[in-house]
Amino acid sequence: MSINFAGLTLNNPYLAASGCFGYGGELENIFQNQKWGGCVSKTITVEKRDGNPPPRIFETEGGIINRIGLQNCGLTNFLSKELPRIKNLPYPVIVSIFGNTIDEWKTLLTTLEENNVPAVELNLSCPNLKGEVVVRNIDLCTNIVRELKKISGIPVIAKINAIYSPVELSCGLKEAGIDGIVCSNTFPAGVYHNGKFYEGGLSGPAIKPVVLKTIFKIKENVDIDLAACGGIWNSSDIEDYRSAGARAFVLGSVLLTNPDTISDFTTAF
Amino acid sequence: MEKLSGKMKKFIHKETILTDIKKAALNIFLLTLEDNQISEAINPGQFLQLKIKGKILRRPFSIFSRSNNTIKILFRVCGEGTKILSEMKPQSKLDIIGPLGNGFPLDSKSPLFIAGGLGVAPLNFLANEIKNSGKFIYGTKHENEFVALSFPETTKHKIIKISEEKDKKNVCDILPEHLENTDTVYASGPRKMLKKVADICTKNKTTCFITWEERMGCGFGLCQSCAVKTRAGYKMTCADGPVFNINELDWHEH
Repeated sequence: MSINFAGLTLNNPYLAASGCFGYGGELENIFQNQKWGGCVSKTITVEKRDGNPPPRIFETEGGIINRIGLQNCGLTNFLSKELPRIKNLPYPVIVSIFGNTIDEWKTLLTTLEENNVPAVELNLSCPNLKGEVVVRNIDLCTNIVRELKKISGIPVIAKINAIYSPVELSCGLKEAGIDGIVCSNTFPAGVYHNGKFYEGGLSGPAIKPVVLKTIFKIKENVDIDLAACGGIWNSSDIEDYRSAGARAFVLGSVLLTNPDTISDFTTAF
Repeated sequence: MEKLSGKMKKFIHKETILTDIKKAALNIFLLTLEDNQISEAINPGQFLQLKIKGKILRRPFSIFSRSNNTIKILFRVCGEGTKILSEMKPQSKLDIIGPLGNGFPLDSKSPLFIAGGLGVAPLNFLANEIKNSGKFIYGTKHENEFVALSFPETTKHKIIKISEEKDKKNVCDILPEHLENTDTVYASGPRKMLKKVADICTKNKTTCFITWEERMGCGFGLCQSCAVKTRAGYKMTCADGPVFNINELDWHEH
């Protein structure tokens, strides 16, 4: 089942999604997690971020809305506290990053590369960052990737959003030298809770048909390593995404239902 | 008194049999699960994540009591998930993960338990397990919301029941008069009540542990959904809690 995705060798095509799997090493030896093909850490920023006040998670029909707000320990703490324990895992941990400026993106990438991180995922598309959704600006995204590819030798993967011009963006990212694309991040969504309106990102089976169509359209137009992320729950979801053109499969919300999902997937196929 | 750590334990994820479900009070149910692994490992204050049919997010529940081969969970029907759970039939299968979170310290010499409504669940378990005797204040809004406590005869906690309906006062109104000769207060209940209890115990310089509730995702610290504001920034209810010393929390935010 071993595959090469975006220049990375993975034991199987199943990855744990950013945000659902901590920094990557927390669940070592708990559940069946040594079976993953790889995982993506929660997003790291240069400075630590507190995230949003609670409540941060809601269930809707067929989906989850989260509004974590990129809470993370910051780059320095990540290197000293988290990196040591993810280095010896039996699967590669792709580190998700977000920069407020091009210099921050560069700092994150070069620092992680110096510390032997195997690959990075650029979080261009988190809907929980007010006014900072990079992915809506195609020129900005391609420019970030072009600058990063000039200075880096490790695979650079972009996490995009199925609802923001995904085909046009994917074309631009490919030209800029991206190694792989993960589609999709959560969709901007809203929910009323105890009479108050909250914005967040929608994930889960509810978004799968939209992501499926997007994967199909990207594959039709761009020759790029594509990973599908959106409501993968069972083998038929995998087959759908594979048929549409995805080579790797990123599992997120399902881990909240069943943290042992990877065990079922690796024994079923 | 150190809390037990909730981090990096080996969790048990298994399918279990729901052996019994019965109404315990108005809109409140007592559910019995067959299990001899988690019941052995779990400490008062820790919780389980139950998978609810048709729902994506698991629902966290504290433990009401345990025996050698059963766990009992007390819950109120307050939404779709708990409604589905309340309608489950005996002998059906239930997917559970536990034990999760930290737990209450058990070394109080003269404990006082203060429970509001459904908050009685983890304190019933705690009062069963704690060695020394003390007082158990249990309050509800209405008389028909009281559930039967299950202390074995060997414990000697004095039980004080109070309902707003009948007594025209709540557990916080009578807490100060019971603090003398108490070394530790254990509180569980609605947030408003916990805030008042924290205020009273802070003024009285009494050690107090509360159990916190927040909307939760994974249950073991990965998704960062169940944030609680502490004096050291956001911590996670599931992995850093749910039991906190009142001095840890930033009560201005709650």
